[in-house]
Amino acid sequence: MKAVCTILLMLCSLSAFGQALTAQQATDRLNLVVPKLPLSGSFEQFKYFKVLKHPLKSHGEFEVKTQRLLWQTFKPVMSAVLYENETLYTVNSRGGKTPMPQGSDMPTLIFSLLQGKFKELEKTFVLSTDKRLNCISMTPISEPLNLALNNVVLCGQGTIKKIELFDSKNNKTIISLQFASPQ
Amino acid sequence: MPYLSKKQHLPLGLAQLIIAVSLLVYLLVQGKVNLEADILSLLPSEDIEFVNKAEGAFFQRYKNNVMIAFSGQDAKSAHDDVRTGYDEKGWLYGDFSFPELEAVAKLFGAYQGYLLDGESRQALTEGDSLGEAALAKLNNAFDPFTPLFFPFDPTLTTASFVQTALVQQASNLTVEDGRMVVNDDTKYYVLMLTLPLSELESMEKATDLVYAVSESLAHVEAEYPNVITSYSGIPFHTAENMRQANKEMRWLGGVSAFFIVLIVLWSFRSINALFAVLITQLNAVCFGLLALTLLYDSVHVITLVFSITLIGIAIDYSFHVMTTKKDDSIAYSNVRSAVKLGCVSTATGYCAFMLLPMEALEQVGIFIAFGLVGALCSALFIIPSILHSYTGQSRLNQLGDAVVSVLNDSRGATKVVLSLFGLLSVVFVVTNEQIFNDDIALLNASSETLRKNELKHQQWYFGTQSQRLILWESNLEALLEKEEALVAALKSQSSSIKVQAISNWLPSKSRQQENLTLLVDAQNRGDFATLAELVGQPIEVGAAPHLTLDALLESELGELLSSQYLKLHGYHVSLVYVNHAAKHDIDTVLDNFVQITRVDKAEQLSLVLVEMRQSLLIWFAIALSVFLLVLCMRFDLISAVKSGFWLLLSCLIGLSGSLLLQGSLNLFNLLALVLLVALAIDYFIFYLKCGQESSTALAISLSALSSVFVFGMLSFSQTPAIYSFGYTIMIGIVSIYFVAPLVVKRKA
Repeated sequence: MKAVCTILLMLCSLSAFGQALTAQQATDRLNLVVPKLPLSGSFEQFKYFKVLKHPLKSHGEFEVKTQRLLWQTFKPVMSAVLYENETLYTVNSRGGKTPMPQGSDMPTLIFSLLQGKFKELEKTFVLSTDKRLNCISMTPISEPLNLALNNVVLCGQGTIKKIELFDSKNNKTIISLQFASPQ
Repeated sequence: MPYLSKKQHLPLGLAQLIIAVSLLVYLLVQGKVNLEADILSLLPSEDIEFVNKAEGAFFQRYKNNVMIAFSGQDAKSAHDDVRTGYDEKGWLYGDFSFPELEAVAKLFGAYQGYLLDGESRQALTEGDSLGEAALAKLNNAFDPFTPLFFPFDPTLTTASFVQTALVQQASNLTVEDGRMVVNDDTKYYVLMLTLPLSELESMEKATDLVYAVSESLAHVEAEYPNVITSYSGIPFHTAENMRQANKEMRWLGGVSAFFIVLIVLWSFRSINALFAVLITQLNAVCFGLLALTLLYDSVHVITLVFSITLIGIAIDYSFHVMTTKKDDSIAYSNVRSAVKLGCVSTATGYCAFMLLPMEALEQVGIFIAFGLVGALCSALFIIPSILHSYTGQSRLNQLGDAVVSVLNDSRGATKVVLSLFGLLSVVFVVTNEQIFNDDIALLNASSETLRKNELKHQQWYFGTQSQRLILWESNLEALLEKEEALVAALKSQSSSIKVQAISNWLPSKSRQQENLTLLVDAQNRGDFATLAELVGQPIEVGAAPHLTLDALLESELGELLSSQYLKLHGYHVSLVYVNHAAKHDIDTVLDNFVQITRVDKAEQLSLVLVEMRQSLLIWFAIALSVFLLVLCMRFDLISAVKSGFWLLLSCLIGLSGSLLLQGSLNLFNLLALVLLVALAIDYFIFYLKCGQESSTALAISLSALSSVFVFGMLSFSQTPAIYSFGYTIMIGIVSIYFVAPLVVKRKA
């Protein structure tokens, strides 16, 4: 009887977690209202690296416009990721810009994640339910994204509140977002 | 020359014919006659032989590679179908993509401490801390390098080094789910194949195989109506040129031969006359081919296309001997000596091709010069015996008289009309803005589609505005240091310049040592204290030996490195790609370096064409002077001056006519002048030697008619070089035909 119950529980779990979703289902599940550009806000990030004794905490602000993205970190060090003129740059504390070789994949991803554009994300991820009701789990389906990320989880109600990134080395990054109003 | 009795002529003539034919058949059966269709093989040998060899060595491995791209709705399925088929054949070229980043991290992470990108080195040199940069990088949630490199190198300087090197790679090709793709304005799925062309025995089989590939793609498009395929690569150009040349040789040669047969049968009404002409042609072609086979390892197909002109020249000698009255011993003797003089002058004209630094044209000269000797032997030794009992002489006399009459009547008009044409030609040439165009594309008969595909695919592979540099040094360290200095100098011109060099991945030993010293100093300053605290242990730098070439060649990056590095004649040679830089800026930088050169075959060859054209003009002036001197010595000054004037006028009309038809002139119009002079000298010699006799006028008329048909056929070629040649010759011959009788007095 105990075994039957366990199996039933497992089956229930399977139906509740990891169930494939369409972009519309994912949007409905989070009751998302896709924000209009430009949008901005602040973030707090915790990076859990296996080789780090403590998680690395940082915070900063972001700003998203059409064809431009600024992801600026204030602490622990001033730095930024900037996408403009179809090029992705890292910006150091002195304002020096260095182009990153990822091309247009990463900025497109960041744009879509911040806005919760599941229609766009569906092209590169398999969308599925997460054990948390207000979260959507996403598994990349093609290179080069699946080389960098194992899994991405988007959480929120009405807007995206939290992004969890799991890289290929099983390190975890949790980003909490606070959109500036009105968005 | 020893005296030969008339009885000895026929046996001697037949003996040389049989020997020539037998020897040629033997060489053909033994496979000694090799055809070459590679356009690049036409390149003249350059001063910097070493650079040529190095370039050949770098690109030899790709000479059988082709690129195929699929776009459209079902592109992925079409790509997969085709890939499966070629995978089974073992034709897929697999070493095209960049290795996985994880493997790269592992490889370079082992040399942590020795590898710094330019920005990090500059920061350290200026005494700035790298600790902040490492923290910022670690903090970047969207940087795929960080998780991969951090376990090997917490300073993340190695990650920055690899990142900087990767940014310099200009290729647009990426891998998605094991498929090579280009995300251009449209998404393309790309296949790279290595065709097994080296294993095939002949050019024909290689051409068939390449066409089978393109035909299979046409089937794919039929199967998937919304898929568009495109292909590029040297094998496709070679195959298209080979097939085009073969086709032109067959139908241009066929049509020429048909018209000549028609002319002979109409004018002589004798099968024996046709037989005599055919024997002359056969002997001429045998002599020409034998000379080529014995003197060269391979014969270029372009040579054979040009060489069909032999049909038009060789036939002249037959006509002169055949139209001469057999019972008029003085006329017959005059014709024989004129034929000999004409042969020597024409062969000399063609031998001038040997002075040009282009082997294909040298082969044309050899083929025609020897072919003319064969035609001469046949005309002097065989034809008289074949036409011994010819009974149509009276008809020939009538025809000859009619031609003389027409030429006599038109003398005045010819002078006026051609002088007017000459005047108009001068005005047209002088007022034309662009007279010459020396683009190397003149040698290429590849289709417009293939050329466009080639350009597009090259941009995917090498990036836009890509220039290639070849550097060489006696040792590897000096080569890498030179590359580093070159990259710095190029980048100082513009920050947008991208340079793909092996030193991007393998810094010189001295630079690696400098990097280590800078990092150790930074560590001693406490730059990485925060990082050490985060990971809970001290940060070590330079624990392993420095990075070496052998280590890279044996790694996943081996293919990338070996495609840009080789050893040749005791030198270490590297190939550097520069993108987004103007040629002028690169050349300015190169002025400060030695043993380095920018390689641009098309540009170099176009320059060579300019030089060849200029030297050909000088040659033309000298050759004309020599010919006129011969005429002056052999005949008289007035005849020489008259001949010179009318010849120059005809050349001018030929060139301006070509300019009108083509829009611009090129080297091949001038090469046509060489032949025009040789043919014209024949006509002048015959008129001056034999006078305006009916037999001479008839022979020259038949000769000119056959030449117009043969050279006129070249005007229908698809290759600009060949039709340029055809236009000038055709227009020039028509003019020469009418002006040649003007050098002698009107026949009473």
